[in-house]
Amino acid sequence: MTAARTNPDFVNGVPELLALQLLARRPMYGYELVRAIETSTGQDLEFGEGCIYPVLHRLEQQGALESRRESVNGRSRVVYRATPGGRKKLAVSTAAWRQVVRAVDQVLRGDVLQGDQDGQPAVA
Amino acid sequence: MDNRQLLERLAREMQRRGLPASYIQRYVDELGDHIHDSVEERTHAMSKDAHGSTDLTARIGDPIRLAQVAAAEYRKANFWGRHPILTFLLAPIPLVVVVWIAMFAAGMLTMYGRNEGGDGADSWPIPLIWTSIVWFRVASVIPPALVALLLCYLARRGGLSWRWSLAACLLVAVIAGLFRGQLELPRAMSKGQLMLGFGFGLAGWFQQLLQFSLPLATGLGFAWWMAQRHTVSPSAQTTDTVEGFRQAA
Repeated sequence: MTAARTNPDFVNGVPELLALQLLARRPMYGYELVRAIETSTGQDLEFGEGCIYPVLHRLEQQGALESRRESVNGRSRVVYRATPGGRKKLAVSTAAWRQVVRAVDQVLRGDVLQGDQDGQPAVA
Repeated sequence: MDNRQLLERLAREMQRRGLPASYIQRYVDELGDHIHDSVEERTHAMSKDAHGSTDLTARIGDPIRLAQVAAAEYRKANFWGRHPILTFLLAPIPLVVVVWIAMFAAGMLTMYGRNEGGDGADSWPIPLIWTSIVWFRVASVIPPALVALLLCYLARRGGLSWRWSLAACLLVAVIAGLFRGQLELPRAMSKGQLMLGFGFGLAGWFQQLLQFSLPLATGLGFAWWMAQRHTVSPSAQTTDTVEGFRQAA
């Protein structure tokens, strides 16, 4: 099955989550990060590679990341690394993401509240 | 679209959205590095599109879309970018009032301190009396102008349209134009009085006109400056970066 070229709207916050997670493991520059996202998601998620930079810049401005120009393989690169604040943000975002996934999955699996089966509203 | 065209178009689109030159420069620089790496990797891998750039837009993203993402992310980084209605439509009037109160309170406290003996302005040196009167006039005019400047600065920092700052400056100008005050210095036999309110009258019309004009001129000047920025071509520095990238690639 071929993956859709454009991701659904609900994955809008995913690049931020992936970037934080991967940068919390080790510092990377932009191109390296995009390749790491591709590799770690099995290329299931597709987004314009250039879109990652505004996300990185915002995270840096919010204090979640810090960047420094460094020489990598003989070329000057802007290398990003997660700050302690970024790691906290990652923990919060990860918990929120898992909660959403669990809730949506529950609905998609067809788990229903008692009362729905006979067409009546559920009563807590 | 080749690499150079993509980066130039991106810079133009970002500029059109009012993003600061330093931010545009940084993005274009990093994206230039990114494309360079991408081309290099594909060349080494000897893939089919090693020397082509036909799928560059598909890989990197459409410049208009990238500029939209950059503007949205840039706005999200600041409170005023995330909440423009609150910052530019709801907050300006309370903000002006707070700054007015602070300015007048500072003046009143100073005068109160000078009047501890109870003789009032009769015993004050002439320069102090004039300073009090001038301070009162300045405290009516300057706060709205300062707030207007601050709002324009925030709009610029947040990558927001000049329409937001102009709307905010107009609100500030209206409230400032309606502001009226009267100062009576304390005397030996009477306490001083500071009366503040809103309204319009022929007495003091020039002061009110000035109070109205300064914030409005600030907003209009900022809007004109932003419009000028959008009509110029990408900065020479950006073009240099693009050129440098093209040669490297």
